[in-house]
Amino acid sequence: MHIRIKTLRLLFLFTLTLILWHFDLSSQAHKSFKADFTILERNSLKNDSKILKGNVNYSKPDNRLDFLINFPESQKWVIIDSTMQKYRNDTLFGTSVVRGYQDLAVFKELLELKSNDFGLREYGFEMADVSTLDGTVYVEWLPPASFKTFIKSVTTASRENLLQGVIFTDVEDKDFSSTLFEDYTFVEDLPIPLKITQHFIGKEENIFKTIYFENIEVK
Amino acid sequence: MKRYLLLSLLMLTSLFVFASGDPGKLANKFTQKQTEVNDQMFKMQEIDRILRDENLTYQQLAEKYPDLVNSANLAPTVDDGIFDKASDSPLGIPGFWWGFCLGLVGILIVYLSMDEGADRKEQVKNALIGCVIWTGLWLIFYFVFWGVLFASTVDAATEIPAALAGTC
Repeated sequence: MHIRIKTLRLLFLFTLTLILWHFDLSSQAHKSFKADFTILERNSLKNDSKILKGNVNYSKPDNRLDFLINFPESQKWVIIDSTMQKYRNDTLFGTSVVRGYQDLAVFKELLELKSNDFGLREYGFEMADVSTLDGTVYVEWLPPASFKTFIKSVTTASRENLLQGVIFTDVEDKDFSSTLFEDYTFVEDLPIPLKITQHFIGKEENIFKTIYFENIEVK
Repeated sequence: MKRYLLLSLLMLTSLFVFASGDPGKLANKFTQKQTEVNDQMFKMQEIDRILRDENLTYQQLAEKYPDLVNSANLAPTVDDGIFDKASDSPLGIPGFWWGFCLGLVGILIVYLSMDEGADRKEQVKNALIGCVIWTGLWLIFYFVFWGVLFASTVDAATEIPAALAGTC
């Protein structure tokens, strides 16, 4: 089980590093992302769920995220680098360090989705197999040596050069992390999926998550 | 020459056939994942639809649809647990190990480097447990070590009386 936690953490670190690395090197002109969002989350092992609704504003040059949350209660979160400040009625009531911020990664990813391989190639993953069915291209990637202890393979699906999904399979042949991108729209030539579904399996978690975006602005 | 070309072509074809994955199987994998997530999120989608249609606050939702809210065990407040905070301890090292390895200094590091709140309380408690366990282990080792040393010293220094030796 410990291996599973380590796996998830390493996977997260990998994803985060990958995204930040992409961001630093990217010559993309897109600097900010603004949208209304809805996050639905359910942990089937604990039988609890969360709904979060509001507006998100991400600024790439400042590496700053502003969340204006209006459901289930009104709060404002400002995240700069990994420090999160929480406000209620414009009054600061909490500061914390957010290290495992997967959702932030999602927002950052959105500005980089033009790469339809999830950045795997740049991180040393090697294409092992390519197949096509009904216009969707499936690629199986094998990890570099450093990931081989816990990742068996990664499968990506893309259609019309847009990433449709990524599934990470562990050495026990279990798909422990899956992300699917749906309902693409183009804003400022940037493909944005209006729906992202995720599934993570951890020690005490079996988390299903759906993120919706509306009223998107990209600059 | 033709034979070689034909053989090469045959080899390439067979390589392609055997090397390529089954796209139907892969497509199925993605479709199954989609279905699995949708099934799990059915109730949540229903709540979201109500929120969109009726523009309700949490309080109003809980009053109007108590069964739905209770069965989904929907959180009434915002918590930043939506972010993974598993490694929210100094350098990502659990509090227990700070206490276990560095004792009181470790507890102090955990206390000073974390923001006030339930997380800090939990990590400091873990650091304290780590510190106590380390101290306990050290004491056990100390007594066992001195006990063994003392016993071996006594054994070596004690001569068995000849009368008793004779009876053995």
